[in-house]
Amino acid sequence: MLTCKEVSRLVSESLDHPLPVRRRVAVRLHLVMCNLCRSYRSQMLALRQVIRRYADADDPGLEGAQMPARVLDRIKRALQEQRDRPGEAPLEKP
Amino acid sequence: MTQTDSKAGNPELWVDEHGDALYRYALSRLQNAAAAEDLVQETFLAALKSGGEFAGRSTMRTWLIGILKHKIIDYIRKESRERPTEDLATTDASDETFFDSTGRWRAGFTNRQADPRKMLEHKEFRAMLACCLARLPESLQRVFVLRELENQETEEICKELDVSSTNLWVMLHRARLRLQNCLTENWFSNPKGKD
Repeated sequence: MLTCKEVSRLVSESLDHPLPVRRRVAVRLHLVMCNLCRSYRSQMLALRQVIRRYADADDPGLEGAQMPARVLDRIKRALQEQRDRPGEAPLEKP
Repeated sequence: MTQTDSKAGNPELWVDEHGDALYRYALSRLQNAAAAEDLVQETFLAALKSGGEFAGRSTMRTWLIGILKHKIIDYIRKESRERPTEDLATTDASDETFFDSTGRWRAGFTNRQADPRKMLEHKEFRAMLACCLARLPESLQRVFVLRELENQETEEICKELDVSSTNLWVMLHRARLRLQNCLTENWFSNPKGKD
């Protein structure tokens, strides 16, 4: 019989690679009987879902940080310099 | 300003159009504003250097994010090589925070946990998550970002960071437990989270 600690580790591992069949069966058996581990499992699945959304830079539902104006200017200057440097500028498109 | 203008060689306009999105992307993965700014700058410079390569293969944004993605992975790999941290796969003591000596959940740990999906509806959530990510020990942060934010396969991460798969799984497990715990703590200390 697996402990909650072992099950929590295996539930996490199952997000990273398929568990061997015997392990999978043992985890399922534990989950049937243990509501704390069931709740942990659903939190882990929810966390993944939420993180994937957070990872999307264009997610319109979340307000995000803005690049500070001084950095925008710095980047524009750097681009300008690179373009003006002889030999470094990209070829004009035909 | 149109897409055509930017493609026709107005890189300063790229910065106005895509700067914030690239910055958010980098910041969410690095938890370090200065590094995020530098990588965004390098991305624009690389884009300028490659000139017409973009040529409508994808949207401008996707193309730039693709460049930035590589820069971020390089940065994390370099950091992990230059600033190795202690081996948290074996020495971390956080197990005792969550489990008692018989391997059972400590009282109330999982049943008081907040559902991250509910948290997502609150506008403070992004900041909360960023703060919890930043609080992870660096080595856990790196593996978690590559796995969950960059969606890399574990084999790739093992190669990039030079860790065994067993260690990687242990580290990811610890990162997830800590993150969930941190989110819950923040959530319940925030008056809006109590409903």
